[in-house]
Amino acid sequence: MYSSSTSILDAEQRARRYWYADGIPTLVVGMGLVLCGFSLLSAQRETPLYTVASFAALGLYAVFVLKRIEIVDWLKSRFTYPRTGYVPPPVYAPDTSRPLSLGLSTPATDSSRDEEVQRVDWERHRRMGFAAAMVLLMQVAMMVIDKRWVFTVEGIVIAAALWIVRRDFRVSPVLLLGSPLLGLCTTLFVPSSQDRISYSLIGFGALFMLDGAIALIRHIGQNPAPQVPAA
Amino acid sequence: MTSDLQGLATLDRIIHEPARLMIMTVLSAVSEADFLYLQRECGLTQGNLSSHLAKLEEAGYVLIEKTFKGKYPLTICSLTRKGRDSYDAYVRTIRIVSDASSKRVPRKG
Repeated sequence: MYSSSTSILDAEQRARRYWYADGIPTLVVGMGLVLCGFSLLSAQRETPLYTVASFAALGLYAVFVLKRIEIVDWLKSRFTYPRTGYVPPPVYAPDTSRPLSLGLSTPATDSSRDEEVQRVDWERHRRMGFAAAMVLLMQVAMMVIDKRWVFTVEGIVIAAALWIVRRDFRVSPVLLLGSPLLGLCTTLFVPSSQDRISYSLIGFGALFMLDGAIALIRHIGQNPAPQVPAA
Repeated sequence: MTSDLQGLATLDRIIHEPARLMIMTVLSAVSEADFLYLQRECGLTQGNLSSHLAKLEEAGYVLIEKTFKGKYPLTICSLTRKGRDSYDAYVRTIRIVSDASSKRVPRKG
């Protein structure tokens, strides 16, 4: 096993966490969800203005989905890189690094090192797959079961999925507590079954945006911009 | 133990310096990183990091490129093939000595 204090695997994980630490990726995901929800909501109103708005929102959502990394990178180049430096996102450099243990406290052979790296990767993929399956199942349930309480369950399931996926990075109380609350509010206050999915998406988007904005404000507050750029 | 111990004499002195070892460790875990990120991760001053990076670059272990992200100038550092190999060799040597010393019979009293 790797020693947590000397492991280079740690350095890699810190770089991974660093990508999410400023809240910008979360903020961008939130914006995408709001646009998707708004597009669905507008599509249900059959007036020309809403149709145009729906297509505009859908187009913007497509841009957010396709260019998510570029948008995040662009925002980071304005807020994060000048303050805390640049390291490429995990997607750009998935397997180019070769995590090693210095082995000062717990020596390991080359094969056990590779096994450990594979184990960590497999564990991460397993958790993400499980969480995605939970959310997917919930989406199917929302379409099949026409009951209001499904949205409350959805909120709880999404909170659980987020906890499973993000526990290595940062489990935000805004998302963990907000998701079930949002599900409950959708159940109680949105009478139209057609609108519930749209409002639910907008609500989740808003929660992600709030979480991202809080993290970004905190990040900017803790890391003031340097007067002179680094050499 | 003696031959293992003598292996320490073959340690790469460029990497063996603590600040440079930190830099190499961080760079070995990512594909590249900028100056400011390295500075924060290693807890070094700007001048200190500059001089150590210059030594690593001179040895051919680190590649330093100046580029831009938007309007923000970046000094991107990455390990070269030679740097990665040297680092791996360094870690292997340390591990062999560490293995040998952990197998040593503990002294009584």
